[in-house]
Amino acid sequence: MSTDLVEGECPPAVRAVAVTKSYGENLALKDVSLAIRQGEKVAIIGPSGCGKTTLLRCLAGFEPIDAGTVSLFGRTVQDASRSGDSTVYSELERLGGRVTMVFQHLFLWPHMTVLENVIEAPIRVRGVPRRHAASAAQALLKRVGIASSEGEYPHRLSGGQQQRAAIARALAMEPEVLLLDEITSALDPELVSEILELLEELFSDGRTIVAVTHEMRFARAVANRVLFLDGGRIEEDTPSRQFFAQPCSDRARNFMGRVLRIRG
Amino acid sequence: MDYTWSFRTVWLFKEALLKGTAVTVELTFLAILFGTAAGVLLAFGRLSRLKIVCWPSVAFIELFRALPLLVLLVWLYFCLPIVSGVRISAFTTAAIALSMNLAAFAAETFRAGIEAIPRGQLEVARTLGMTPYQIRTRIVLPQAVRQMMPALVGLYVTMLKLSSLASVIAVGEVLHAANNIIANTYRPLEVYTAIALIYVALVLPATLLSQRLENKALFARKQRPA
Repeated sequence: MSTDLVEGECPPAVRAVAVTKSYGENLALKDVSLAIRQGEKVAIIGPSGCGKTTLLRCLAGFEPIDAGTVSLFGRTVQDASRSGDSTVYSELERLGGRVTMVFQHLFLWPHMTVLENVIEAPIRVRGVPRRHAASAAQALLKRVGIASSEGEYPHRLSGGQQQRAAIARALAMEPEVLLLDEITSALDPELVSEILELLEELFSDGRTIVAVTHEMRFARAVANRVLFLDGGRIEEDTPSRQFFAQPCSDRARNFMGRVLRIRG
Repeated sequence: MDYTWSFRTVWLFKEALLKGTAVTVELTFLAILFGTAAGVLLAFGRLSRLKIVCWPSVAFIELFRALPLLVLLVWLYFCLPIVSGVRISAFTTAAIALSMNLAAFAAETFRAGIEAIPRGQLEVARTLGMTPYQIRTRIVLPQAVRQMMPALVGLYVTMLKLSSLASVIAVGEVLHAANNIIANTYRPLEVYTAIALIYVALVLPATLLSQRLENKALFARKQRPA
């Protein structure tokens, strides 16, 4: 596994060492270690309940971990040997939007228009003047294809438009790492390919992407590395081309067999 | 009924009544101002993860929700000076008592409004780098206030009506003014009727406003027809 760090190299964008997380009796993550270099595009796949989303939330600092450490850009954001999750939050704050997450349920702020949703963080966190933030946001909304909806409130948008708005809001902070939590699973099937095309186009740059997904099309098109999780463990960590050609582990082979049968 | 109504007597004292009404409005306004501000702080205090902030907030809220306002007024006015040696005017005492009572109830109203906001909205704000203070003032409060407005206006109307209790400690609000007029004129029927009408006149606009806000809140929650 590629968790070893050569002395003097720049620290990985995302790093987890021996992370364990349980909910009561349920062990959600068992001794998970990973390192994601800047610019890597990683798809986290696996059967439901395997701990994908939990892993992402631990990386983002939303779930306190029971053992291990999580660091972003070499800064420790979670360290189970030190208690108190307030330290986690303050570190995340200092990262100031360099690591941003898009959620399955989007969570657009309903009391703000689409444009206001997008410019809020750049203005408050980065201190960008409103006018600059607005013109940058308009350009972004155009890129994601909802330029005409900038003055609308989120509830008036369709599901696909809301998805685009949420992506624009995250991109407005120009995050170096984007964490995506099953962002297509709440969409109508005919909208999924539309959004996938957009994501493919948006993510062809040097941004680090860590995406939990059910969409093999997305994993295939965007990711260059696949983490296959099962039972809270990383069962396989391979370049995506290799994974989709022939997964190494039996569990991954079984899973892919099931997925392809359902799709086919 | 063998009684000759004489509202002319009331009219003779219109200035006293007007002054009393002004005091009622002033007292209510102060209670709303301080009670709402304290209520917001208490609501966030109660939701805090720090026990040293959470527990006193819970204690305050539960104590002042449990105490009848009349008991609180009387205790603050008659007992507190003896216990502490500090003497404050009847009007200030009433303003404080009303504020504390409103703060406790408003805090619970705000808490409900805050807890109704999906956690994910706050997590998004966090990953975008917003500070807890920014999240509170930009994401949480605007939504909580909008959703809680009807309930809050209801509390304010109740506060206006409860301010009549201040007459017990001789604050010159409208009911106290009325009692003085009755002592001079022996016309309780006319005077109390006038008082009733004054309260209705004060409360009705607020109730109508509350209904409009309620419609607006419902409207905002539902998908608006195109």
